[in-house]
Amino acid sequence: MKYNLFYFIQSILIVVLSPLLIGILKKMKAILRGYVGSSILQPYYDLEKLLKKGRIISNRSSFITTIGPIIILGATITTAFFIPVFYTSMEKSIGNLFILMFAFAIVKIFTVLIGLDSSSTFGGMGSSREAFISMMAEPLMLFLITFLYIETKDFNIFHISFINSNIVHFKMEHYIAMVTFIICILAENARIPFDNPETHLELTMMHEAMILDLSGSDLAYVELSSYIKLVVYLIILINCYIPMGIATTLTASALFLGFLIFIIKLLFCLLGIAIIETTFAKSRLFRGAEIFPATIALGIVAITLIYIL
Amino acid sequence: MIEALLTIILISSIYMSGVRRIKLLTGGFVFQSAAIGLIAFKLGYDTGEVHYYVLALLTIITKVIIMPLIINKSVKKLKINREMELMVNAFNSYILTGTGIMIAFGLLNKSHNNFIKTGIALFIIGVLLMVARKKAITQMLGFLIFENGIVLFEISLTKMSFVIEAGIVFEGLMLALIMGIMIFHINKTFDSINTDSFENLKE
Repeated sequence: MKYNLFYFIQSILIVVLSPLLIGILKKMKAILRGYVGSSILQPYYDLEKLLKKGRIISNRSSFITTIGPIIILGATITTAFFIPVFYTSMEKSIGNLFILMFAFAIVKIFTVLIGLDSSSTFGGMGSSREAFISMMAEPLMLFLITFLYIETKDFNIFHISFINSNIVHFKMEHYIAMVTFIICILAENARIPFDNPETHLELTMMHEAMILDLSGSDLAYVELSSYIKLVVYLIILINCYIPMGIATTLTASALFLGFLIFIIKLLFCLLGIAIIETTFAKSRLFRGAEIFPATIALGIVAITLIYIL
Repeated sequence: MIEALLTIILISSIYMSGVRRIKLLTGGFVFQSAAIGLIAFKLGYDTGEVHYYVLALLTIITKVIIMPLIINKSVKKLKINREMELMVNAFNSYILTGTGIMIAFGLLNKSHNNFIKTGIALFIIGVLLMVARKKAITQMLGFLIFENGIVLFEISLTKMSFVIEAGIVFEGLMLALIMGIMIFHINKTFDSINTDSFENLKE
């Protein structure tokens, strides 16, 4: 086990640049819909505005609301240090997939608790919906971890991306698992077939309903953590399923090429999300839940294919 | 390349096994047939045999262009665009499909030909759609998926004469044409295309 200094630098980059990437995603959606849209730096301005404001806490709420946002932000930033970004190496480092999954579970459980804590109706409703969707999305993550273990005989994400970066022609099961993980990303990050991240209409919101009572710096922490969470999920997708071109040596040319390919792949993923969000409509809660059995069927097929063949 | 196309076929067939609206079902069928046509095209490019090209061309013309037109026309005429009561609901259909594909791939694990395995998976999904749906038009789409499976199955056999390939493709086309007309007459006679009402006798 060896922790390279470069791992630290690339993870810091992710934490700092994730609002910019969300700004790019919003700009892409605006262009696809045919209007100009806000600047790609807008998420930074929003966070700055929120951090300037004071925090107001309802006198009905308990200590959960006081400590919840900072725990959420802490857990999310931790996950950013457990993943390779554009450099990985043979040596195993801290990057167990189970740790990642449970760190995201901490984020989820505190968001649900914050929703319940302020004893408002919307919060409870949002919490129950979030728990419902998470309950269906959790087995998918376990299927995918199983798949990656059978494929590479390792749980370490640095090692997985090192092994997979040598493969050029992937098999059928790899593509199926990739599609499964894309749907999993949309479900876990409250994107459009399951939840609309832009709306504040009480009947449709899920993630927004839970953080409706937060204000000021608390809201800024939760927003920043949701930005980082989406980017971290996309990086897991890129580095586990399409890691071609990732830098495996610490030379300047390899790092530069790896960074360039990584940025292209990330922008491509963001464009995919933007296209999904502009062309699809948000499905009803129970109709949206019907996507999960299909995805579970895909996961079963992927594991069968890789295990039997 | 071929692996990615086979993935499109499998994913679209799992998607089709639970979807309700006939327009989306047709869309999935178009994707699936286009992928099969491209596979035949790629095989022709690799082996240099002419009959693969002919099969690709026939598949794309009949299944990507003509059949969706027929289906959309009959849907417009019937004013029925979705299947509301399913015999097996969407949840169970998806899980059944996944299990079916699992069994198909598990039983055939000795064979190293992915076309045969995917073809048998398509047989299972087509039969499921034929058995578990009530509307005649969805059952017809189930048969067309079944027929796609036959095409994939025979792509894997190297010594297949051209006459049989053409026969398979035209059989599917004739089926779509005849069923398009038949469903219209069923609707006129029984006031619905629900196959349950076939039990009611009429003079």
